[in-house]
Amino acid sequence: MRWSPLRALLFGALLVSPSTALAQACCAGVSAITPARLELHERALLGAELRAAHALGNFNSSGDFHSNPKGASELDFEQDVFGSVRWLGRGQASLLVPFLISRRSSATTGSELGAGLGDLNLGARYDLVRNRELSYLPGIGLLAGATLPTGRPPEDAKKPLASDSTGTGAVQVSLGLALERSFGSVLVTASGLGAKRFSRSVRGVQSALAPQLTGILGVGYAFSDATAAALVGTYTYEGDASIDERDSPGTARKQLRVALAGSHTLDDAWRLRASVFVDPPVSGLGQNQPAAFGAAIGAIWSLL
Amino acid sequence: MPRDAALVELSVSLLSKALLLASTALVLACSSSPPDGINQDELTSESGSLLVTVSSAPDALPVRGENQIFYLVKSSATGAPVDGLALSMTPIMPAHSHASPDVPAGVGLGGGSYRFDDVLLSMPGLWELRTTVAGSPEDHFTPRFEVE
Repeated sequence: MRWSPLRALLFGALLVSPSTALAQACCAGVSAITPARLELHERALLGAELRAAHALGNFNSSGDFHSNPKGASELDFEQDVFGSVRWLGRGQASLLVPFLISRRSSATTGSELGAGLGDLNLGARYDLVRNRELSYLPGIGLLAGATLPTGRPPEDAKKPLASDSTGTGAVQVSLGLALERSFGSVLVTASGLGAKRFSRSVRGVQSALAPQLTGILGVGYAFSDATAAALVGTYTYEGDASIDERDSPGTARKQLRVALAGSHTLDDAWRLRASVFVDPPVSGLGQNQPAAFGAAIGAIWSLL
Repeated sequence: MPRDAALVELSVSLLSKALLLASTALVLACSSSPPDGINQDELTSESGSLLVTVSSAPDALPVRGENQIFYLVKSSATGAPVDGLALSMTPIMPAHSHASPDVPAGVGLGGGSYRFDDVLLSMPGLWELRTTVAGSPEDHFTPRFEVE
């Protein structure tokens, strides 16, 4: 699988969704922004999400966007199973298990289909201050996460276009801060995450990605206690990678993703979530990254 | 009224100039020149002793999928073709910290030419063809290409 910040972002997103309170209409926005954050009254949850994405093209090392050349395409599916449990009242720990399927084609190799288990994600969040707990402070949450290289890195793929690669091959750890505040039916969240990726040996070459910074800004609106929608923007940036401990110029990466999500609570235990997203294919908004658009649907079962 | 009309005209003019300035700034901010050494078909080895000309098939620049890569190696000092080198290549994608699934094999064609078959560049993006010249001491050269 192409190394993308999306997996880390997804898991970061699991941790940065706003908490909710049962009686607050604004808090239906929880699942609209992210799927797996426990609501205040929940002790645990299990969920599944199916995501499909179609690659529009690629941002090159100068940040110019190029659509796919003739004969080349990529369609990715990801099925995530995730769970969260509460600890110490204000904390929660989460695990996400992804399964990936990719269909790729090029003019020289034809089409291929690959699949496999992706990189496991672990996460934790601790709410120092809950939303609206203090009138003079927003909700403040501390975030931590780790990605474990349980997937197959691209150099170990068996298929020419590495459609059966499902992981990055590297361990990643991250720390972050999440802020949130509701204003009536509107919920505003802002989060920042920093990630350290450990170096690894790739075919005898020592390769290390630069630290990655991620900012997530979300605005949710609750139409009722049960239904909400949210607009979420995610921006990631990292500097040049290093090869054999020397900076490799032109290898910095950046990506903007915009998502529109909605959620609907069926009853005390079940809620549904759906979203559409796009990486705007505008030169300058990305670098060394693919651009894609897609959609996701998911269901969450919670334990009170 | 004339005074209001003048104010409107002035406002529109200022707004137009502001938009032009903003869009120019945006274009400049979004534009960047490509880093040196990308898509160059000629390079010198790290020791400076070899001059290498790079070409590929099926296209002039490497493409996503399977490629053939050709090197024409000459002495930097004399310009004479250099045969008999033991070359090995590792294609890597530094921005994504991974390599190609296969390690292509190099074949000497004579006249300073070498061919690598089955060079798999599995994804679009910036690739480095890290090439080692065996010997004592070793030498290296690394063509860099944007693959679409």
